[in-house]
Amino acid sequence: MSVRRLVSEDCAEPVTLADGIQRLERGGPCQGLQVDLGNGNLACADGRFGRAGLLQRLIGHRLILAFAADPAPEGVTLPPRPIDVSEETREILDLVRPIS
Amino acid sequence: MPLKLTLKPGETFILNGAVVRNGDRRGVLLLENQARILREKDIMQPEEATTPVRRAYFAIMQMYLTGESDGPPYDRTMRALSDLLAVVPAIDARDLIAEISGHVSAGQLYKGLSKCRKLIQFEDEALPDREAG
Repeated sequence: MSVRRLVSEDCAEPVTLADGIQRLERGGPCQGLQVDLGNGNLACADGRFGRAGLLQRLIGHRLILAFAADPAPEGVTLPPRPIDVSEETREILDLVRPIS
Repeated sequence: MPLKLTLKPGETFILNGAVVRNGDRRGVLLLENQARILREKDIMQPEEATTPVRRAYFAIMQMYLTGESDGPPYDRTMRALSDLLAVVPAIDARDLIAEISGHVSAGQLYKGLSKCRKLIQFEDEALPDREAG
């Protein structure tokens, strides 16, 4: 049984995104907290950073929803951001490259 | 229900961060439980992340490969998605980006990657001659 499943079974009724952020910002418990992000997506404090990680994800998603709801200005181009590759990812991807 | 993988000779895939390469014959594998698996055709190298959509795919792929659902890898993905929203005016595509954010924020990274592949396909069809940038 996966960690995610164990967490889900312990969780109470899912709360909305706004409620989830409010509860965490007020210092409420994250144990059993399940946040409904829509489209069948439920977020729990099951990442490496636990409670802080859940709050980070909820705030991040709220920001993206706000950006997505605003119309984008036409003809915008952004200078490309440098790709940030973690050491672990680089190690994996280097092994995937064809053997020469 | 197990996931059946049919592998071409020499085909590579990544299983929970381990790089696995098939031998010189066609092979079939059955994956009996849930794991983070990414086939060769879905693996993107950093130099291939040449557009905002591809940079978003790459960021989510990094999270999936390493199994990280929050912290700095999550921030990288959200930056990539917001950069993408800054250049995508189509409402359908913006809704899809919001959906991707929902999957990623819920730790459903494979679903996020699948939706991002749809955006890449859309980009390839709509802008075949687009310069990387």
